[in-house]
Amino acid sequence: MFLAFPVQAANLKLDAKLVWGSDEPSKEHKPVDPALAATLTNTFKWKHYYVITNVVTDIPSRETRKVKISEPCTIEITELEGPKIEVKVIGKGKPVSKTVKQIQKGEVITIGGDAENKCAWFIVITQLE
Amino acid sequence: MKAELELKLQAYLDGELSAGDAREVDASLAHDPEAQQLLAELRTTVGVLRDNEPLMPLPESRDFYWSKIERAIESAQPERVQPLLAFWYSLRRILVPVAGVALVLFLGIASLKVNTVSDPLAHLAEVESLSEHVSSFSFRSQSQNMFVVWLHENADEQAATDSDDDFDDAVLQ
Repeated sequence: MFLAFPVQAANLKLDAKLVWGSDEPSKEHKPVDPALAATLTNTFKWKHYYVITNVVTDIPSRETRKVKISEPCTIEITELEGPKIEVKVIGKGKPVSKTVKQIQKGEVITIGGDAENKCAWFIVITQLE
Repeated sequence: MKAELELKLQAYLDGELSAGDAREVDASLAHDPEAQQLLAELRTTVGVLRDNEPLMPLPESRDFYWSKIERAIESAQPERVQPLLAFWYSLRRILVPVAGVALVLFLGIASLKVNTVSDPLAHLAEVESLSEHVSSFSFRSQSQNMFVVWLHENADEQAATDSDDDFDDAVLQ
Protein backbone atom coordinates (compact mmCIF):
# COMPACT_ATOMS: atom_id res chain seq x y z
CA MET A 1 0.00 0.00 0.00
CA PHE A 2 2.39 2.72 1.23
CA LEU A 3 5.23 1.02 -0.52
CA ALA A 4 3.72 1.78 -3.87
CA PHE A 5 3.96 5.54 -3.57
CA PRO A 6 7.27 7.20 -4.41
CA VAL A 7 8.24 10.48 -2.82
CA GLN A 8 6.93 13.31 -4.92
CA ALA A 9 9.30 16.00 -6.12
CA ALA A 10 8.50 19.24 -4.38
CA ASN A 11 9.98 22.70 -4.25
CA LEU A 12 13.41 22.75 -2.72
CA LYS A 13 13.94 25.44 -0.12
CA LEU A 14 17.61 26.21 0.27
CA ASP A 15 19.58 28.55 2.44
CA ALA A 16 22.71 29.94 0.77
CA LYS A 17 25.24 31.93 2.76
CA LEU A 18 28.42 33.65 1.78
CA VAL A 19 30.74 33.27 4.74
CA TRP A 20 34.07 34.90 5.34
CA GLY A 21 36.60 33.02 7.43
CA SER A 22 39.36 34.84 9.23
CA ASP A 23 41.75 34.45 12.11
CA GLU A 24 41.17 38.04 13.10
CA PRO A 25 37.99 39.00 14.92
CA SER A 26 35.80 41.55 13.22
CA LYS A 27 33.23 43.84 14.77
CA GLU A 28 31.95 44.93 11.38
CA HIS A 29 30.53 41.58 10.39
CA LYS A 30 27.89 39.34 11.83
CA PRO A 31 29.17 35.97 13.09
CA VAL A 32 27.51 32.85 11.75
CA ASP A 33 25.13 31.01 14.04
CA PRO A 34 26.85 28.87 16.70
CA ALA A 35 25.94 25.54 15.06
CA LEU A 36 27.44 26.52 11.72
CA ALA A 37 30.41 28.13 13.48
CA ALA A 38 31.09 24.82 15.24
CA THR A 39 30.79 22.89 11.98
CA LEU A 40 33.19 25.23 10.18
CA THR A 41 35.64 25.50 13.08
CA ASN A 42 35.78 21.70 13.37
CA THR A 43 36.54 21.37 9.67
CA PHE A 44 38.65 24.39 8.71
CA LYS A 45 41.58 26.15 10.27
CA TRP A 46 40.12 29.66 10.61
CA LYS A 47 38.99 30.89 13.99
CA HIS A 48 36.17 33.27 13.06
CA TYR A 49 33.38 32.99 10.52
CA TYR A 50 31.13 35.86 9.46
CA VAL A 51 28.01 36.01 7.34
CA ILE A 52 28.44 38.33 4.38
CA THR A 53 25.12 37.49 2.70
CA ASN A 54 22.33 35.11 3.45
CA VAL A 55 19.74 34.20 0.80
CA VAL A 56 16.85 31.77 1.12
CA THR A 57 15.52 30.54 -2.20
CA ASP A 58 12.78 28.19 -3.40
CA ILE A 59 13.71 26.10 -6.38
CA PRO A 60 10.85 24.40 -8.21
CA SER A 61 11.40 20.90 -9.45
CA ARG A 62 13.83 20.73 -12.40
CA GLU A 63 14.29 24.49 -12.43
CA THR A 64 17.22 26.81 -11.91
CA ARG A 65 17.48 29.86 -9.71
CA LYS A 66 20.24 32.43 -9.79
CA VAL A 67 21.32 33.66 -6.38
CA LYS A 68 23.52 36.73 -6.17
CA ILE A 69 25.65 36.31 -3.07
CA SER A 70 28.08 39.15 -3.66
CA GLU A 71 28.74 41.84 -6.22
CA PRO A 72 31.08 39.69 -8.32
CA CYS A 73 29.66 36.29 -7.50
CA THR A 74 26.45 34.55 -8.44
CA ILE A 75 25.49 30.96 -7.92
CA GLU A 76 23.08 29.08 -10.14
CA ILE A 77 21.27 26.27 -8.34
CA THR A 78 19.33 23.69 -10.32
CA GLU A 79 17.06 21.07 -8.80
CA LEU A 80 17.71 17.74 -10.50
CA GLU A 81 16.25 14.30 -10.34
CA GLY A 82 17.44 12.35 -7.34
CA PRO A 83 16.86 14.81 -5.72
CA LYS A 84 20.19 16.34 -6.55
CA ILE A 85 21.27 19.90 -6.89
CA GLU A 86 23.69 21.42 -9.31
CA VAL A 87 25.54 24.43 -7.97
CA LYS A 88 27.36 26.52 -10.51
CA VAL A 89 29.64 29.24 -9.15
CA ILE A 90 29.99 32.24 -11.43
CA GLY A 91 32.62 34.82 -10.53
CA LYS A 92 32.83 38.10 -12.37
CA GLY A 93 30.48 36.67 -14.99
CA LYS A 94 32.67 33.66 -15.71
CA PRO A 95 31.74 30.13 -14.68
CA VAL A 96 34.22 28.83 -12.15
CA SER A 97 32.97 25.46 -10.99
CA LYS A 98 30.05 23.10 -11.10
CA THR A 99 29.07 20.68 -8.36
CA VAL A 100 26.33 18.09 -8.65
CA LYS A 101 25.34 16.33 -5.48
CA GLN A 102 22.41 14.64 -3.85
CA ILE A 103 21.18 16.91 -1.11
CA GLN A 104 20.00 15.61 2.22
CA LYS A 105 18.39 17.50 5.02
CA GLY A 106 20.90 18.36 7.69
CA GLU A 107 23.85 18.07 5.36
CA VAL A 108 25.92 21.14 4.58
CA ILE A 109 27.37 21.67 1.13
CA THR A 110 30.26 24.09 1.22
CA ILE A 111 32.16 25.50 -1.69
CA GLY A 112 35.14 27.53 -0.57
CA GLY A 113 38.46 29.03 -1.49
CA ASP A 114 41.27 31.16 -0.23
CA ALA A 115 40.82 34.90 0.09
CA GLU A 116 43.18 37.79 0.66
CA ASN A 117 45.13 38.16 3.91
CA LYS A 118 45.09 34.47 4.68
CA CYS A 119 41.33 34.50 4.91
CA ALA A 120 38.78 32.30 3.13
CA TRP A 121 35.35 32.52 1.59
CA PHE A 122 32.68 29.87 1.81
CA ILE A 123 29.38 29.39 0.04
CA VAL A 124 27.39 27.35 2.53
CA ILE A 125 24.23 25.68 1.23
CA THR A 126 21.74 23.85 3.43
CA GLN A 127 18.31 22.47 2.71
CA LEU A 128 15.52 24.04 4.73
CA GLU A 129 12.52 22.07 3.39
CA MET B 1 -71.94 -44.27 -2.25
CA LYS B 2 -71.84 -40.83 -0.81
CA ALA B 3 -68.60 -39.48 0.52
CA GLU B 4 -70.40 -38.58 3.74
CA LEU B 5 -71.29 -42.20 4.33
CA GLU B 6 -67.68 -43.26 3.62
CA LEU B 7 -66.41 -40.85 6.29
CA LYS B 8 -69.05 -42.05 8.71
CA LEU B 9 -68.02 -45.65 8.06
CA GLN B 10 -64.42 -44.81 8.99
CA ALA B 11 -65.59 -43.09 12.16
CA TYR B 12 -67.96 -45.99 12.86
CA LEU B 13 -65.11 -48.43 12.62
CA ASP B 14 -63.01 -46.31 14.99
CA GLY B 15 -65.96 -46.09 17.45
CA GLU B 16 -66.09 -42.32 17.18
CA LEU B 17 -69.78 -41.91 16.18
CA SER B 18 -72.57 -40.88 18.49
CA ALA B 19 -75.22 -43.47 19.24
CA GLY B 20 -77.66 -41.85 16.80
CA ASP B 21 -75.17 -41.74 13.96
CA ALA B 22 -74.10 -45.29 14.66
CA ARG B 23 -77.74 -46.43 14.36
CA GLU B 24 -78.03 -44.60 11.01
CA VAL B 25 -74.86 -46.35 9.75
CA ASP B 26 -76.22 -49.72 10.96
CA ALA B 27 -79.39 -49.06 9.01
CA SER B 28 -77.44 -48.16 5.87
CA LEU B 29 -75.23 -51.22 6.15
CA ALA B 30 -78.31 -53.45 6.40
CA HIS B 31 -79.43 -52.63 2.88
CA ASP B 32 -76.27 -51.31 1.17
CA PRO B 33 -73.90 -54.08 0.00
CA GLU B 34 -71.36 -51.53 -1.24
CA ALA B 35 -71.13 -50.02 2.26
CA GLN B 36 -70.77 -53.48 3.72
CA GLN B 37 -67.88 -54.22 1.32
CA LEU B 38 -66.11 -50.90 2.19
CA LEU B 39 -66.48 -51.57 5.91
CA ALA B 40 -65.00 -55.02 5.44
CA GLU B 41 -62.02 -53.57 3.51
CA LEU B 42 -61.46 -50.94 6.16
CA ARG B 43 -61.53 -53.59 8.88
CA THR B 44 -58.99 -55.68 6.96
CA THR B 45 -56.70 -52.66 6.50
CA VAL B 46 -56.86 -51.69 10.17
CA GLY B 47 -56.16 -55.27 11.17
CA VAL B 48 -53.17 -55.55 8.86
CA LEU B 49 -51.70 -52.27 10.10
CA ARG B 50 -52.24 -53.12 13.75
CA ASP B 51 -50.66 -56.54 13.44
CA ASN B 52 -47.65 -55.52 11.39
CA GLU B 53 -46.64 -52.17 12.87
CA PRO B 54 -43.05 -52.50 14.25
CA LEU B 55 -42.82 -51.77 17.93
CA MET B 56 -39.89 -49.82 19.32
CA PRO B 57 -39.95 -50.47 23.04
CA LEU B 58 -38.13 -47.87 25.15
CA PRO B 59 -35.63 -49.22 27.66
CA GLU B 60 -37.39 -47.14 30.25
CA SER B 61 -40.78 -45.59 30.62
CA ARG B 62 -41.60 -42.49 28.60
CA ASP B 63 -41.96 -40.36 31.71
CA PHE B 64 -38.68 -41.56 33.12
CA TYR B 65 -36.91 -40.96 29.80
CA TRP B 66 -37.99 -37.29 29.60
CA SER B 67 -37.46 -36.63 33.28
CA LYS B 68 -33.88 -37.84 32.81
CA ILE B 69 -33.33 -35.26 30.08
CA GLU B 70 -34.92 -32.55 32.21
CA ARG B 71 -32.63 -33.38 35.13
CA ALA B 72 -29.61 -33.31 32.84
CA ILE B 73 -30.54 -29.84 31.59
CA GLU B 74 -31.12 -28.51 35.09
CA SER B 75 -27.88 -29.89 36.43
CA ALA B 76 -25.81 -28.56 33.52
CA GLN B 77 -23.57 -25.76 34.85
CA PRO B 78 -21.55 -23.35 32.73
CA GLU B 79 -18.03 -24.65 32.35
CA ARG B 80 -15.68 -23.00 34.81
CA VAL B 81 -12.73 -21.30 33.15
CA GLN B 82 -9.36 -21.45 34.82
CA PRO B 83 -8.27 -18.01 36.16
CA LEU B 84 -5.06 -18.05 34.12
CA LEU B 85 -7.00 -18.98 31.01
CA ALA B 86 -9.53 -16.21 31.72
CA PHE B 87 -6.69 -13.71 32.03
CA TRP B 88 -5.26 -14.91 28.74
CA TYR B 89 -8.64 -14.57 27.03
CA SER B 90 -9.09 -10.99 28.29
CA LEU B 91 -5.50 -10.15 27.33
CA ARG B 92 -6.06 -11.61 23.88
CA ARG B 93 -9.12 -9.43 23.44
CA ILE B 94 -6.86 -6.38 23.85
CA LEU B 95 -3.78 -7.75 22.14
CA VAL B 96 -5.44 -8.68 18.87
CA PRO B 97 -6.57 -5.13 17.93
CA VAL B 98 -3.36 -3.63 19.33
CA ALA B 99 -1.30 -6.01 17.22
CA GLY B 100 -3.35 -5.04 14.18
CA VAL B 101 -2.76 -1.33 14.77
CA ALA B 102 0.94 -1.97 15.42
CA LEU B 103 1.24 -3.87 12.16
CA VAL B 104 -0.39 -1.04 10.21
CA LEU B 105 1.92 1.50 11.89
CA PHE B 106 4.95 -0.67 11.20
CA LEU B 107 4.06 -0.98 7.53
CA GLY B 108 3.44 2.76 7.32
CA ILE B 109 6.76 3.65 8.92
CA ALA B 110 8.60 1.00 6.92
CA SER B 111 7.18 2.33 3.68
CA LEU B 112 8.24 5.85 4.62
CA LYS B 113 11.71 4.52 5.36
CA VAL B 114 11.76 2.75 2.00
CA ASN B 115 10.77 5.95 0.26
CA THR B 116 13.21 8.13 2.11
CA VAL B 117 16.03 5.68 2.67
CA SER B 118 19.32 7.31 1.97
CA ASP B 119 21.00 6.19 -1.17
CA PRO B 120 24.40 4.61 -0.36
CA LEU B 121 25.83 6.66 -3.20
CA ALA B 122 24.23 9.86 -1.90
CA HIS B 123 27.56 11.22 -0.75
CA LEU B 124 29.12 10.94 -4.17
CA ALA B 125 29.33 14.17 -6.09
CA GLU B 126 30.48 15.43 -9.43
CA VAL B 127 32.77 18.41 -9.23
CA GLU B 128 33.91 20.11 -12.37
CA SER B 129 36.17 23.10 -12.81
CA LEU B 130 34.78 25.37 -15.46
CA SER B 131 37.78 27.65 -15.59
CA GLU B 132 41.23 26.65 -16.76
CA HIS B 133 42.68 28.86 -14.06
CA VAL B 134 40.96 27.07 -11.23
CA SER B 135 41.43 23.61 -9.80
CA SER B 136 39.41 21.96 -7.11
CA PHE B 137 39.38 19.14 -4.66
CA SER B 138 36.55 17.87 -2.57
CA PHE B 139 36.06 15.91 0.60
CA ARG B 140 33.36 14.95 2.96
CA SER B 141 33.47 15.42 6.71
CA GLN B 142 31.42 12.58 8.13
CA SER B 143 31.52 13.95 11.66
CA GLN B 144 30.29 17.39 10.58
CA ASN B 145 27.95 16.04 7.89
CA MET B 146 29.49 18.45 5.44
CA PHE B 147 30.59 18.10 1.84
CA VAL B 148 33.32 20.53 0.85
CA VAL B 149 34.54 21.66 -2.54
CA TRP B 150 37.71 23.71 -2.27
CA LEU B 151 38.61 25.87 -5.23
CA HIS B 152 42.08 27.23 -5.73
CA GLU B 153 44.01 28.94 -8.45
CA ASN B 154 46.48 26.89 -10.42
CA ALA B 155 50.03 27.58 -9.19
CA ASP B 156 51.41 28.87 -12.51
CA GLU B 157 48.32 30.97 -13.08
CA GLN B 158 48.60 32.41 -9.60
CA ALA B 159 52.14 33.61 -10.32
CA ALA B 160 51.23 35.11 -13.69
CA THR B 161 47.98 36.89 -12.93
CA ASP B 162 47.79 40.43 -11.84
CA SER B 163 45.65 41.53 -8.97
CA ASP B 164 42.63 42.44 -11.16
CA ASP B 165 42.13 38.86 -12.24
CA ASP B 166 42.60 37.32 -8.83
CA PHE B 167 40.28 34.42 -8.30
CA ASP B 168 39.96 35.41 -4.64
CA ASP B 169 38.21 38.56 -5.76
CA ALA B 170 35.82 36.65 -7.94
CA VAL B 171 33.73 35.74 -4.91
CA LEU B 172 34.47 38.24 -2.18
CA GLN B 173 34.71 41.88 -3.02
